[in-house]
Amino acid sequence: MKKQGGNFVLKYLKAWWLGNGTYNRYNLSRILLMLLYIAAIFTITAFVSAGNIESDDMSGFFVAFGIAPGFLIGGAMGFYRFDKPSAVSLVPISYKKKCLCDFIVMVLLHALCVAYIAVLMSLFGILLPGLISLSEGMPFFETTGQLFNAKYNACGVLFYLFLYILIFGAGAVLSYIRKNGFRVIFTVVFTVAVCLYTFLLTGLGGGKMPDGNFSVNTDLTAIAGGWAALLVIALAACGMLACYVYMSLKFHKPKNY
Amino acid sequence: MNALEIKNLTVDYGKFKLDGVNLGIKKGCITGLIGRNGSGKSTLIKAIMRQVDATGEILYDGKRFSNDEEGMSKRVACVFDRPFFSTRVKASRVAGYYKCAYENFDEERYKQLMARFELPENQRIYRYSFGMQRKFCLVLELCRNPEVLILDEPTAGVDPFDRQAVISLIQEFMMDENHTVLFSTHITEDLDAVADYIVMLEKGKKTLDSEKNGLLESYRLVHCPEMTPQLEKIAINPIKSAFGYSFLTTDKEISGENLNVKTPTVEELFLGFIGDGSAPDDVFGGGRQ
Repeated sequence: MKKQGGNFVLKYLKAWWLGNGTYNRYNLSRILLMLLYIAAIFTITAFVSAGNIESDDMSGFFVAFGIAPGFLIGGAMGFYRFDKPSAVSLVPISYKKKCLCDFIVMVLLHALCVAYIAVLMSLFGILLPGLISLSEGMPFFETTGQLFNAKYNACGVLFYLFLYILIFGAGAVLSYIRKNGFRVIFTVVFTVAVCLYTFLLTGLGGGKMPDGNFSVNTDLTAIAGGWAALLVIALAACGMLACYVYMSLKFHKPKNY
Repeated sequence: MNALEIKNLTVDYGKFKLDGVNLGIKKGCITGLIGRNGSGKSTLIKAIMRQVDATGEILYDGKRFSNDEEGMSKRVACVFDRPFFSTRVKASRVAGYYKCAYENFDEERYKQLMARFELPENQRIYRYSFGMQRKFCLVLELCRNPEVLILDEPTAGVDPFDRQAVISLIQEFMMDENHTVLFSTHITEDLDAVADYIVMLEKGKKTLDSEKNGLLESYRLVHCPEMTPQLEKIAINPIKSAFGYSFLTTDKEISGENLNVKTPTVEELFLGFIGDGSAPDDVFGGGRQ
């Protein structure tokens, strides 16, 4: 008999793909594919339209719309829940290794989403100026109202990161409230809500009053500066990852029976 | 010697509770698990496989599962009531996972069994019929050469011909005296064929745990046109039908005119215990411990 077997990471990844990745009950792979498809359409639309728009105020709208799918996937990952019996819960590796692999997979998925957002922001030419102004300690919203048209201040970078975490958190909270009731309908409702939210915020952010001033964003100026906001984001991201460790341990740690 | 020792196992779902089950699964034997829908069979199996939160103790070969988590999960295999992996993928991909996850996975045997059950390897699992999916899951678990095989209704939805083949597979598995099977089913004919022990659950409690042949021999199934006061005294859960009455009794010497007496099958025993559904919670006073 030929000896089989692979290392624990490979075992976990194969189990993850067979279970959480493609399990027909959760349709995670189909949700991801659908979101990537939407992302592609948004991105193309954003590029095509941005080239025809002269107003700087409008470009932020398309950036936000283009990167929305990155947020949506983040939100969908907030919905992610552990389930038993599943391929992952039955994979024959120790619970510590399962937790480690869970963590790596989650971090990688989040990194992919953030990388997607970052790539799109850099394509629109707002990532680098944003980071430079962030490193110079420029405050948020130096120019009132330029929420998404943030070519020369830090708000674009920080706002998008913060929004990503917020959306993930909202997904997780909804999943928690529903407890064992992960439902595709929630993802759909959530996706629509996020799209509307992004659309409204962008629209409002880009909307000029007749006197030349913008109509919203004054509340957000309360955030003192880029570094403070970055700290908040970093803490939120750490909290998010800590939650994953906790959930993973809770799920995989052998019961004392 | 018990391959699996279950002590005071309790699973509380709120609406349903598996209540303090004590059970010893004999090594080298097939134990049949019977009970009505919702009696706790699948919950018990999930608890043994540590897939639900429970209290109590489960020992495998006298050791706790958590002592050697990795080794135990390789030695104990389970066919759940539904596939635990995606059915959107091809069978060959699932087999690929098993090859990777289990060092002992016997690829040659896998190919043989897939051919024997006429299961196409390059087909997506959702395109299999329900019965084919059950067979596929069983083939996978058998080919990883476990010591204990736990089956949650492995013959449900399987046609009689293949059901016989599944039973034969289980019997082949039991050729090794170190192997053990716990087998939950509603098709009690299967247990007539292979089971050594019978365990019955009712409303989350164990109501019967006995060696099968001895159990069947200790009862008689009686059919009679009329119930007399004498028969009422010895009858367990008599059931009335258009043709008269039928009941179980422990009186092995029972005879008489118009009485049709025979040794019951597992199904008849099961129905006899349950009666019209109003059977006492524990017809054996707690069962064998």
